[in-house]
Amino acid sequence: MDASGIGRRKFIGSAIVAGAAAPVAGCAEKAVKRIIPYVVPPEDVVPGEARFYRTVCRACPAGCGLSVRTREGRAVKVEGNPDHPVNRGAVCARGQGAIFDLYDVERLREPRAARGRASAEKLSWEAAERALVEGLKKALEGGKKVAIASRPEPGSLGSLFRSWLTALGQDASQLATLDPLADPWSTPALAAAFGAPDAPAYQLGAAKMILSVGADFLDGWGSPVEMPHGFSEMRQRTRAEDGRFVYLGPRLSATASAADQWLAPAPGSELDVVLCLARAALAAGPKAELAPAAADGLRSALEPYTAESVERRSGISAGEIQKLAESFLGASPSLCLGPGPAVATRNGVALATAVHLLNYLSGNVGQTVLFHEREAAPAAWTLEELARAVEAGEVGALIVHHADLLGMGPLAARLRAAWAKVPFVAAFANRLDETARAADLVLADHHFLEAWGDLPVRPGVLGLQQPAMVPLHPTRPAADVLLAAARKLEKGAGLPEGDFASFIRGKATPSELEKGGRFSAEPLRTVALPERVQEALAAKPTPTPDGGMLSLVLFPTLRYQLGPGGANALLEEIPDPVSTICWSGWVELHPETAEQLSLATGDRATVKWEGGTIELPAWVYPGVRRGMAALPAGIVAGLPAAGTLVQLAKAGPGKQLARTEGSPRQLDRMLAREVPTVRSEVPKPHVPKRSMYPEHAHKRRWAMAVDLDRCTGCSACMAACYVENNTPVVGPTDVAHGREMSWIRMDRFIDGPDERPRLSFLPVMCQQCCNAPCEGVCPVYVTYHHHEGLNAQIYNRCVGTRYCENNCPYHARRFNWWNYPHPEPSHLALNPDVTVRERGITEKCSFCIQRIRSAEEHAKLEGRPVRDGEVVPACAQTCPTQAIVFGDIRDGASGVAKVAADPRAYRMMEQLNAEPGVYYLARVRPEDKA
Amino acid sequence: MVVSGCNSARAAEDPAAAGDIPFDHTIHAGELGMECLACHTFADKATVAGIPSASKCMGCHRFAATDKAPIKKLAALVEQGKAPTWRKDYALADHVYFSHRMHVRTGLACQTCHGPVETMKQVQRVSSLEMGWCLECHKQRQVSVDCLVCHK
Repeated sequence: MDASGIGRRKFIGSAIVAGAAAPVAGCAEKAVKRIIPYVVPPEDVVPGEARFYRTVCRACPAGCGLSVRTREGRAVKVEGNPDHPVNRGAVCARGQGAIFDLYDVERLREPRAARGRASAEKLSWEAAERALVEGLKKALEGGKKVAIASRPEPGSLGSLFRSWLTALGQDASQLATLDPLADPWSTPALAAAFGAPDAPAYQLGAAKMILSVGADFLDGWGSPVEMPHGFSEMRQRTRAEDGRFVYLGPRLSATASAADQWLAPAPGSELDVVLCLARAALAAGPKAELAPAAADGLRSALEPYTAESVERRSGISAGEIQKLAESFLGASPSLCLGPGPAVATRNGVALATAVHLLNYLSGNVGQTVLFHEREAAPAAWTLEELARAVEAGEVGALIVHHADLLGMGPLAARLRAAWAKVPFVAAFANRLDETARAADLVLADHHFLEAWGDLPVRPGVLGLQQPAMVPLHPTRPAADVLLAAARKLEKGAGLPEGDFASFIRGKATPSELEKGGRFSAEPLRTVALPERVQEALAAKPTPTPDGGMLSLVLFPTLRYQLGPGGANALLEEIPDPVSTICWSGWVELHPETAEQLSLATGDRATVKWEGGTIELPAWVYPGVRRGMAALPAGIVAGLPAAGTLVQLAKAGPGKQLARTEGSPRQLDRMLAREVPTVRSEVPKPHVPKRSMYPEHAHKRRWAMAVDLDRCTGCSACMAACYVENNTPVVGPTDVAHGREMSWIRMDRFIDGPDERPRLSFLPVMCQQCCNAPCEGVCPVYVTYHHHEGLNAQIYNRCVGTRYCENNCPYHARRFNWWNYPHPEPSHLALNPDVTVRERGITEKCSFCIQRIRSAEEHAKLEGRPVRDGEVVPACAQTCPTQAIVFGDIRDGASGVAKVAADPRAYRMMEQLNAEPGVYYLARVRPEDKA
Repeated sequence: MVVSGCNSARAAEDPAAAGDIPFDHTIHAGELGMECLACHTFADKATVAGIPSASKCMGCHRFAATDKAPIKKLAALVEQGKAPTWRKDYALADHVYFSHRMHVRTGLACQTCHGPVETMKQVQRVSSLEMGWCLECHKQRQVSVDCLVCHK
């Protein structure tokens, strides 16, 4: 208070009165709020308290278990089910995005009639069911086939599809599956190597050495949570004893950047390298059973793959290859993964077979590569068979179930051409994708968070899907619509009575539903190499890039792996971890290649191949080999295999790219730090302790520790934070202006020479400083230091000076440039525990203050202190590699205090003396192998 | 301070709020002496006190005062699977975290904030619900006045 006796508060108050024209009359203009009570209250629901329902994630086919947080009957957030053996409590960004899909404004609310109409016409369910029955009847009467194309449905729904086809007098095998995560080379290679078992489960956690052959398992290849989790386990266990991870592939992906060594052989020569290792394994004596005749056959087939000859083809020195062979064969068990789309050229099957062979000869099968004992899968159409039947005009009615046949997959072009030959197509969908638009009838299905079902991932792991909320729209579950149609056609014999929900409920006990599934020991089987496996290893030559032709590289991304993108605003907004590009695809080029083509980052480039073309902005990146063009896999249907030659030309200058990259190089700022071994100490700057302010008397100091050795840049934390904290999605224009609102920024640095670039990831949230630079500059006391060590941010005091944002050395604060609308029904996705900020307000990470407050309140009610681990912020909860630890650092026994005491622990820009509350553990990068 | 002014103004603008079903606290909480928690069951268990469900009303009114016009109206509504809606007098801003249970459990009487509801034929808001009003009490009782206690 100053001498005149007018305090700041009074001054501001009188300033407002002076501007009396401003309508500050308050209550008179507030709308009347109504309270709508329940007619009959649901049992056990306590208003204002979250309830969790366990179910399974269907955002991709991996089959993770979820625990869905609901508030007053609506799902507001998904978290991982800690009891589920696949994801063990974590969720990837795509899973977090499920809430956006559920409340999507464009979600289908009712059935539609689409094909041949400019806009899909709305139908009543009665009309839609009549149309379905008509369409089926016509097909059956005309003697044509009825077929189903579905996303993977290995559980009860898949069995129901088959019995439904049988009931209609069809062959149960007329069911084709479109699995965007399945590699087309996987099944034929398994058949060649081991006589067609189901795809194996990989135990990354048990391996002592991992060799990835272009398998970007930290970018989305394979199971998006299980694999990073296993990898993190492997790292934790083997860091001290020199566990190694080597990546073989043409592009420095997030996975390659996590490796101790990145080897980029010439396109197509990965097969030679793997066969060279297999040769060495055979020479060292195979660690698995091998018939003498088979061994002889293999020996002569592998004879030409000496390190020297492979050096000529791959460009990797013989010494390097020998070193790789030694460390791979020396570690037991080891694990070779792949191939991923980056290296699966026309020789994908041969390369995949070679990988199986190498794992077998090194004794990894049964240890890190597990095959499960299971019943033979019932006969089913491949997509190829479906396309052939469609082309031959044999299919009279096609039921599509969440499978965008025309928008993605290898046969999209063929199906598009023959589409008119199917007289009736009905599509079960949640939104109008390309296939739904081309269907005669679109049947609006429940979202998976509203539906019943089950999802066996492998024998011993059956996930149960139960609704977390009542359906938002008058949608109907696919199974019930099909059952009703069969009954109307008087062909319901052999199908379950009643609806699908009661069918599933009849199969699961309440305790299983509560747990989220039925989990038991996983029965394993043994496999053996067939005698003439070498025949599958024959390779066709891969063309070498020359002139204007570039060799194609494909890589999995969050945004495009499951289709052409654009469907989920959250996944569009979250930048790709490697390129930091949002809201669009891109083509990656080496700086020299880009220069030859006179392309710069942001320019539009046309990529042309036989049978297709796509125009994308270019991104110049030293992490891709010369003479190659790298594209996100799945960005457009019908992309050829990696290694194919494509033509690239400049199409013109582009708009400003929406990307979040700041300075790509660290320039000695020592932000994302590295140490040579797990026990090395991070050199810390000498910081004299001084401050203008008295020291804080913290009752408790909430702190966070992020282990950069575990962080893979996957961005699941960002997605979880968006959903938990009602962070607005701003769109490409605002991101291009640097106005993205994410409370966590995934910094990605490219360091090292262009010849040998290194990527590092650094998730940066508010560092919750003790001597916080933001606090002192706020003129209206919005941000202040909380007695539990937090930087509090009181939104409704904020007047938007942005001084705090300017003064934050970590750039952790975000300013609301606009009011971001939440059109109905997307407003239902908002977390009621967190304020929705409006235009003109600064915001930032709060360490999930709502979760802290809730834990403190519950502890107080129970008359006990808050337990360590009781408060788990959304980012830490969802992290697939458990890189984030949170707790009270003043409690020496807490998890976070222990991590912060690690020799690798440091705080970012410690020399500024801001005393941050976020600790980072330096990444371990063995020096000689960097 | 009674700030009924704006309440009644609002009631006039909103005919439904004037009370199709004139719920009378003087009968329930006054004459009959029912506990507040009998109907607002969550006040000591959750952050919100809870408005009784229509089926809860009918628990008594299936038998009590069934001849009265408002009760007939209520019964007809419930028959249709509907509940009467009420005007919200105590609405907090979106940025405020308020936990009923933390206040009730310290032994505060409901009337401290809501006034002598048992004497009100129609409930009137008796507190401003402004921050200063909250803080006054927090200071008086020497409980935390930290911003994050209430601001979310």
